Amino acid sequence: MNHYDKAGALDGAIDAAVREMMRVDPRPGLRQRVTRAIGPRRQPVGGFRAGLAWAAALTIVAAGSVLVLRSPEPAQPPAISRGVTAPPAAPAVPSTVPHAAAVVPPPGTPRAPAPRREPAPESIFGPRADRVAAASLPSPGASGGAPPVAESVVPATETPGGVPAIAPIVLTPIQVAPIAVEPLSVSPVRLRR
Amino acid sequence: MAESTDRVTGSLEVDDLDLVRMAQAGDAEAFGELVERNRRAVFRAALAAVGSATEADDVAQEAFVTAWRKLDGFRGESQFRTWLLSITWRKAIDRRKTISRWLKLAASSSRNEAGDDMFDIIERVPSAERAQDDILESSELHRDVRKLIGTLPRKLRDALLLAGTGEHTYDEIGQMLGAPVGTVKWRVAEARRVLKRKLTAMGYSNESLR
Repeated sequence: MNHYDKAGALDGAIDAAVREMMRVDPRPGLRQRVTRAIGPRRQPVGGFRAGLAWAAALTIVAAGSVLVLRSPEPAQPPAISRGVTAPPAAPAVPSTVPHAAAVVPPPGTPRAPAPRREPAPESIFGPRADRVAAASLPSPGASGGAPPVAESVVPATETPGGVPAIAPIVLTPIQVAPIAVEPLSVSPVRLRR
Repeated sequence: MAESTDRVTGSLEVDDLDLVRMAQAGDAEAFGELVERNRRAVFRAALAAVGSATEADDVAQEAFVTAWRKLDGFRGESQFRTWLLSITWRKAIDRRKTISRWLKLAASSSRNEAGDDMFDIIERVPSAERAQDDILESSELHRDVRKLIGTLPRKLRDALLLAGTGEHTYDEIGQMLGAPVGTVKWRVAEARRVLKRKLTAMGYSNESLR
């Protein structure tokens, strides 16, 4: 009795055909071909070369980080020369003259090259006296009268380094008045007949 | 060379895992032994996909070389052979996508076609395992069965052929195909049902073949 009788002839035929197709051996010499292709020895992970590669990669990353961190700071805006007076620091009075104080960098940090400062042009009103004087006001020393308003101008306070201080900016709250809305008056529509 | 071979194969108790560890440490000879132990399973898995012995040889060699390169990725969670067969199957599918001769060759009954086809394989490299009663004459029935196998949907054909290699367990086939064992068994049974239906339609029957 052959396997056809057991399993059914068709099943047996199918099995036999599949076996015939698939039970085939590879061409001789596969081991040698593979061995030739892979080489004599494989470098395992964690070996000397891998360690070198990792060290090189880390060095490159570290060098790149240092270069990025040491990039020069952006140039500071040039300081406005002395002589500009600021209004007195009062809570309700907003500052009118914007100041840009020269910032002195802390010692030790690399300094940006100092911006070239051109000499301030001579004023057409003559040399500055750190005081504001109105033409309509009597000059100092004039008799009588209240001291000119300008005299009451307090010269700008200066920091020990000779740099005018920036008056604090005081913000006054904005008062919003409600809008008075008048009621609309609509005239009646007249229809033509 | 002979000494290292004796060292590797002298003891029958050197299992695949030991050979893998040695190969991971860089021992190419140990990997050669793994090739020798798994070459038939790898080749036949490739053959099931590509349908040509020449292509299957190339795929098998590629699979082993890839396995060598990726050996560090093998952690021993599965059998080495299962892992190797997964690599083989992926390589074989990639190869199959570039060739379309399988269906044409399976549908053709001509033995005069140039190049390798399933008919030429049997004559070129007969398996040493084939028993006398398995060396059948190339009957018309078997030719028809082979033709019909080539017309099966790929999922059914792959499962049927892999199950017919005699080298792979259902677990391994499931790993290769990415399907549960139950699905693999169903596909094999369904492939048989489809083939029997078509053979019956061609005039074959259990009674006529006895």
